[in-house]
Amino acid sequence: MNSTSNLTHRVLEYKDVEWVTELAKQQVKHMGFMKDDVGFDDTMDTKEYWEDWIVGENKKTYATFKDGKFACLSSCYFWGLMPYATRKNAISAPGLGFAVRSIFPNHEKYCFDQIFEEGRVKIYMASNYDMYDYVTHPKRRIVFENFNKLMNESWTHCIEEIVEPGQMTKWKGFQSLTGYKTWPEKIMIKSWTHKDYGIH
Amino acid sequence: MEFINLDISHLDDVIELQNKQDNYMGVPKKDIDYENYFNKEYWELWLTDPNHQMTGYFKDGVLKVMMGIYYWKLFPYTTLGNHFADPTLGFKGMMLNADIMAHCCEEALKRGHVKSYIFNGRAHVDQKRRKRYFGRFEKRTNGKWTHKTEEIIPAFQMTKWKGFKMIAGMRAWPMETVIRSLTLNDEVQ
Repeated sequence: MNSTSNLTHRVLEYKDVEWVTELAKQQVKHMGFMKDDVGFDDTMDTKEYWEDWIVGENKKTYATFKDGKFACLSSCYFWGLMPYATRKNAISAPGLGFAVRSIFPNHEKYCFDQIFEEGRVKIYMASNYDMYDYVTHPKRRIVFENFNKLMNESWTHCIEEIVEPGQMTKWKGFQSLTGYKTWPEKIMIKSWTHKDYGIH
Repeated sequence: MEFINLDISHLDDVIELQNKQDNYMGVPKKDIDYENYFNKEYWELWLTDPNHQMTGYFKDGVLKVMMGIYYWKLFPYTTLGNHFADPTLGFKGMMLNADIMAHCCEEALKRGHVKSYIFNGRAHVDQKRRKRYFGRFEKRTNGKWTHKTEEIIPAFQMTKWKGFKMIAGMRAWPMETVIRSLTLNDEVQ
């Protein structure tokens, strides 16, 4: 059976806070880095943190399920300044293996569509630069090929800034994206802009 | 076609081109406090401050088209404004504006600014001309920038978004206006 069949998606609710917190605690990595290597902030594994991201003001967390079992999730913060959003907290189920290559792009597509439905035309995210380096890591290419296939019809992407190891972002507006801290490896700040059809 | 960066020595040229306009974004000058807004101090700031940059095109020693770039401090973005063309150029002036906008986006990119915002009146240019304008821009830039309509603001209303207030001149306008963005598209690099 195709790994993207029987996928369902939904916005998480208060009843989901407990299991999501437990899931977060089990993760050994954060943004693709070992938690211990990046001075991971333990408050991000608490019930309060996830309650805020699941039912807090201007925030939502979206999840995807395969055959009814959790596959992956990610959260979104809706900006107050401009019609934009930040996507963060991406987590996938332990043991998902290669299926993540097709399921995660589907999950992202669902999230982006939901965020656009909320009137947001641009989505920002900060990532471990190395995770996008499919020149050095060619196996990763398939994830991005699947992702681009799904996204390119409606969204275009822009690399806003590459933050060097041990340095802060040059831009105050991006500090919340990078957690107001420096990182031991390169961080990439990307945005996705929803495409217009026609000039209004 | 050569666009040059303007400095304080071009102050008279800039004011002369601005004075040739009989309207701003399709609205008669008298209806929008035009003379107080575009005064000498305004242009001095644009021609001297490091976060402001004016670019222009001269023909036979006369400034024909100009556009300004304001470099944001919070994000790697700019606002493109002050786009004036010699009214005697007619539609050709509008096409030159598309060329100068392409040039300004490239200038901004040299400083790492990957997105530019523009603010226009919506009605004074019809849909057909608007398409030709952005078509020309796309051609000049090989589709490198993604055009996005960020917000259409009804007449006499302020923008809904705090972050757009500066772009819209911190005021309501007597006509429908539109905030657009041009974002670097990494797919074509």
